Amino acid sequence: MQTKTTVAPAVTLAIDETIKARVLALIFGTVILFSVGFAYSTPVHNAAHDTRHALAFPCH
Amino acid sequence: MVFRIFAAALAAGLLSAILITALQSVTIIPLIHEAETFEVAAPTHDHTATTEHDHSESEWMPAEGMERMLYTLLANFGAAVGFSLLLIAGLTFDLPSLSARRGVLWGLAGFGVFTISPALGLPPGIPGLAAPDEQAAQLWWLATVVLSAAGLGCLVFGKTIAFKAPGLVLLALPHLWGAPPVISESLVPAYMAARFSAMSIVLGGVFWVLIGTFSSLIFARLGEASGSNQDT
Repeated sequence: MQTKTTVAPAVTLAIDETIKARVLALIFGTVILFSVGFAYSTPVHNAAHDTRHALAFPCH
Repeated sequence: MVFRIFAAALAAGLLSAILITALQSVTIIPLIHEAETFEVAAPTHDHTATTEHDHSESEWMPAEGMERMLYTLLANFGAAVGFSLLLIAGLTFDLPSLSARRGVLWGLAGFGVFTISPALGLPPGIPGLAAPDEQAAQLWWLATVVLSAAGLGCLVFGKTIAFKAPGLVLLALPHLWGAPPVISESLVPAYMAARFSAMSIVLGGVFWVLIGTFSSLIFARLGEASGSNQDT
């Protein structure tokens, strides 16, 4: 009995933790990709210019 | 889990970025520089018609040579970390079969979603190539990536035809809709532009295989190290 009651919350925590990690990875991944590939700021565009062309992000 | 994902993405991103930058510097980047001589030389280059272009004298841009290459490395690192984060987020749904081989498959999926599918409507463009309106192109690119990812997911993970068929529709949708039309004139020779497109797609494949391999290897390794491969 005792082991059952301790295992259940641990599993729930692990699942929550995984979902949180996935969401964070998606958010940060998207934000980084947007800055590298899409941001309109001219200095950012100029710094990432060759990468944008080489990786075929839409660029002028 | 958060630490494991981000640490693996940073390490995989760094390794992939260094290797792809080295490869780009002897393949596609010389081609970009060569194309820019046509762009600058073109007498009819109209800045007002399309978008504000980057070669105006007043705006900051990296100095030619080492500085420019370092910024390309930095931007490649950003792209590689971003792609690795998305790929590892996918890997967390696939933990029981985690392996470098599986990582390569996820990398090939990324290649299909982020390179192949958008390239059908917007071929990778050398500087000076005829292009659609930039904002319209970005919007179509984004929609294509999202729909292709959803479609491929349905197709691969769907167990029945009820999931697989909509997957095919999602994959086809951006191409049935069509990419935005080209509104500018090409300033570069066609042969050079075609070489650039082919080279960009091939390098995209290499980049994604590197990202898939390193991400899965390092992500698996960090799981072993923390001894939590089973429940995280």
